[in-house]
Amino acid sequence: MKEHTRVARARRGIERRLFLKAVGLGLSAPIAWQLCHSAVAQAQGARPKRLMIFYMPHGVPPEHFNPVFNPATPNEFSLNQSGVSILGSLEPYKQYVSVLQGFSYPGASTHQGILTMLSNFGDGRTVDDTTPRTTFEHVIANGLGARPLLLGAIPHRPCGIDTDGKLMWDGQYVVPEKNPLVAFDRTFGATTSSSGGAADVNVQLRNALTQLTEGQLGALRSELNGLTTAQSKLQIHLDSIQSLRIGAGAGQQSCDSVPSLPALDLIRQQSAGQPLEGDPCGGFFLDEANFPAIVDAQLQLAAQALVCNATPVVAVQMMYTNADINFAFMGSPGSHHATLSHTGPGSTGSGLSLETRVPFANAQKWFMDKLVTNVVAALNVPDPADPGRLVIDNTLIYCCGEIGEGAWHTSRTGKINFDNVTPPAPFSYMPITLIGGGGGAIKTGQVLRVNNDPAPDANNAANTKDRPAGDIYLALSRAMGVEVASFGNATNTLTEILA
Amino acid sequence: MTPLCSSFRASRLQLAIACAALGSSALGCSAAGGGPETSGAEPVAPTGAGASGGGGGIATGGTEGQVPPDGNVQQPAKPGNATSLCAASEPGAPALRRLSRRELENSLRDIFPVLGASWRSGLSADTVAASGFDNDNTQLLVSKQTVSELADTAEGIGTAVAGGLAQVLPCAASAPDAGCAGQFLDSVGRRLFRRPLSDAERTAYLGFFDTALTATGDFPQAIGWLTRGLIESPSFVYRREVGSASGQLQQLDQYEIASELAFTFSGSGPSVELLDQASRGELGSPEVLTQTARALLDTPSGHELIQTFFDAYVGHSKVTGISKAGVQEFAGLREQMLEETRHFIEEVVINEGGGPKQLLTANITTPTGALSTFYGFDAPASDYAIVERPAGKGIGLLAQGAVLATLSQPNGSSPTKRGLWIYKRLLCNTVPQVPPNIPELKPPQPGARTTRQRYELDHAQGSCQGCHSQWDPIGFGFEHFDEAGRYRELDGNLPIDTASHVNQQGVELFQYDGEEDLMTQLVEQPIVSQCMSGYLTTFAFGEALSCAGEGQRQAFIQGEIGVVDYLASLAGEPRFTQRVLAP
Repeated sequence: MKEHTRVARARRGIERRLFLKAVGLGLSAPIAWQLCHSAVAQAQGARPKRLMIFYMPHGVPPEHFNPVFNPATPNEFSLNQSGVSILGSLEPYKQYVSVLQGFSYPGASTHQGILTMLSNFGDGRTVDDTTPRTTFEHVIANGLGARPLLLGAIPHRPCGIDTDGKLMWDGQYVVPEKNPLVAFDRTFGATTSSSGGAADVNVQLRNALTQLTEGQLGALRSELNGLTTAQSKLQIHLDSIQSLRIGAGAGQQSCDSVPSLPALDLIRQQSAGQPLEGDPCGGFFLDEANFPAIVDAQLQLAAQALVCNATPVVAVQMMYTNADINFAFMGSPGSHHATLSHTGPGSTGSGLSLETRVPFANAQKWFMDKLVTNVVAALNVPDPADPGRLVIDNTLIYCCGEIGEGAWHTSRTGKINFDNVTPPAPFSYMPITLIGGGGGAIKTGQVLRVNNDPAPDANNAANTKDRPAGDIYLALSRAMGVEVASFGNATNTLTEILA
Repeated sequence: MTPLCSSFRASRLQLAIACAALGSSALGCSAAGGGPETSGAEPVAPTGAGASGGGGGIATGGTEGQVPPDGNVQQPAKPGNATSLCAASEPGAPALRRLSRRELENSLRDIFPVLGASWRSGLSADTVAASGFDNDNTQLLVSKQTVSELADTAEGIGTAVAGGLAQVLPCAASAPDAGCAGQFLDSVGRRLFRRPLSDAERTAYLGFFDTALTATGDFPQAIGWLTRGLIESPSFVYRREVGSASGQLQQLDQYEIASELAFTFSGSGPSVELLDQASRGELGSPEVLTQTARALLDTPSGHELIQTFFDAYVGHSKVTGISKAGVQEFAGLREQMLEETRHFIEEVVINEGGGPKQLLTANITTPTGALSTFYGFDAPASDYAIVERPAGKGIGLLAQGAVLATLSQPNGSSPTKRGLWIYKRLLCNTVPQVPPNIPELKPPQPGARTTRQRYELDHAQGSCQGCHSQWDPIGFGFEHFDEAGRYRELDGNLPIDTASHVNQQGVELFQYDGEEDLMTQLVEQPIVSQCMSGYLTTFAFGEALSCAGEGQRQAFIQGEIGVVDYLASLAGEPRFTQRVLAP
């Protein structure tokens, strides 16, 4: 395999970066150096932990998604079933898989669940795409003092961001990177200049510049004293600058070199000379014709970032909600949202057969297959940061979507009258799947159902016996070594998934 | 000031009531943002994002909290329904506006033209507000991501400046010293801050330059760092529209007005000439401001700004990112379709000074040779030259291939998307929230049922009808155009029925047959021009305000002035130069 020349990630390099970060915090050099030694020693004693969020829009047809299992023996289950088996490609990795059932998002029972799902923030009634919040991946990244790698394959409409794309938040909404080439350089290229005297000068001047900007912001705030809106804006600006000073450190990369990523190379060739995003408001990375290639490139990059410990937190957003990308490229012609996700089951589900939603199921399976091929398989390799274990042993992948039942827009568990489906799949759950060992902190290989209500009411949040998805995030946060008190109204850690 | 016409607020309420009365309640109204047959992207009329709350924890809208001045004061134009008519215009509220990505990038390109493509913007797309525009004052904040991306962009420019300093700063070759750095602040700094730097700012930035020079030992690199500092400064990132007390009002200063003129009418920062005019105090009377605005709109940047408005208002630029499963030629023509529409707008709105009537009913288009073949039109003399549209094959903006293809499904036309666009963008109606549990919309069945028959049947199910009956009948008028924007005589092998009606507030406005009849009758409805003028003011002022652009509004509605002249007239409004502190 062709090798890119990249900097060695040796212990000395790690110490140097930590030192620069500490200097950035304003610590004196001797103290900073001491702290770095301590941090590295701590890191050496613990297993590395990595987190990936994988978002797939428009729900699922549960008759093709739900695993086959006996609730009495939840550790014995099959991801292959009589339908399309959306999760089927995970069967070889079943020991790493947990399917979670009986959870809810505080969505408004529509695709606008994308605004609330990863933060468990929202009242379930209003569409709020402005109030500050922090989503799960950023809670973890911030807790670890790391900068997450956020990727999006056509994550918003051309010409700007609207409500349908706002998945990730760090206080304010965060736009994922659409261009995997830029993301690659940012992830693996930045450290190439982190050695030598120039780096010290850069850090010194960067800090001086930040101080200068903070001073200018302070002066402007004084000048506009009494103008409340302006004050709020400037405070957000100031907070943003200060938080980046704290979180500016690079990860402790553990790869000696970064292998060539075929899908990334393909994107490099295809996008060469093409207008990029914003030109005027479309461009290569918002052109649905390029969607499959972008997905491959982003997932391969995500996997490589995890393998190399370039960052402990990665999130990949597949499209935006309501995206009407034509899925003819994988054999399910029609727009993903309007045509595929809304095929069947009518308003009652009665009369649905297993064949009705095969095109939609195949489309969702395509996403999962891409995840397995590009990421799960790529993580099934020795961990360069943890000899004797595999990367997937030390990784958590949280797969999710903003609604449960694709056509019905559920935000919680529901009962569906699929009377012609064999075997029957009467319940629709939010499609939540966990993959990976989480550094030994996660109990894997189970179907965990926390809502056994025989007649769940998907249309009424007050009647649901679901647990909030925030309970999962509390558990995963603990698994990642970041203690969090609550996510929205969720305070009850899902200990059932913790080892 | 009380709006004279509150009918559209009432109409929304009436529609909501009507929707509920029709049995749809929250269930059957497939609408923007989520139904199987919706555009999804566009929230509706320019109702003022501020009214919906939020705003990232900041107070939204234009009203600023402040100790009220003594005596009776005027009220600033309020966040609200920009489509409402008022007896007179009102001043605005003080504002600190973050520049949009487009404004930031345009400014940097204009200030550093010699750098060419040697730097790349790292700025992400901006949030689109309820109005559909991405320059909304309430939405534009400097988040952590913005700080990081701005720093990356500034680094790129700083590096490029250092690498080509002789072109940017001639004294760097002969006298690379503090005086030369001072010249940089006087020229480039003044452009970036859109005003001369204060003494305190000069001291601070020259101090930073000294630090950089000491650390790097290299004059060009130190200027590069100074450039980065200026670009990351809040004085570059924000536009101030605060002014100083003048009686009961706040009067914007000359530099604030220069910035407002430049960004509003050219999408970029003020030129050296405009700053010089400000320094001489020449930006005074409404007449001068309107003339200056008109001159700015007549520049290439001004033309691009007008195209930007229509891109956001219509959404036709999205055509370059979509595909059509059954139309093989489409992939090779979609870029040309976008250019065709841009040329059409250039001709009708900019060259001919047209307004809504001309825009919606012009009997011309500007295709390439390949497009004319695709559409079945006569070939133009050259690509994008004007041709007359064949009779019966559509008129105006909404018959443009880019618009029709965008407002379609990948595998079929979409009466819902097409009707919904008019319902929101020309009739200024609000669309209800998408309900859960949307019944299935059957896939196209060529030869078995027409698209119209399919929509009529599927949207008559359950609770769909209450809302879809408001806009699908408008969309049926476009059924002679397929999903790629081509005229078609038949839908499959079935005859097409384009006879339908337009409702407003539950009342039938008129009946029509076909796109041409629909457009011809639609432009006679005053609400269409009134609605478009609301979108224009919302775009120009960067937020939805009531009573902000009334001076020439009736002239626009009556068809006496077109889009460009109406836009320019906004510079003469009180809102442009005066601010009122909210009591």
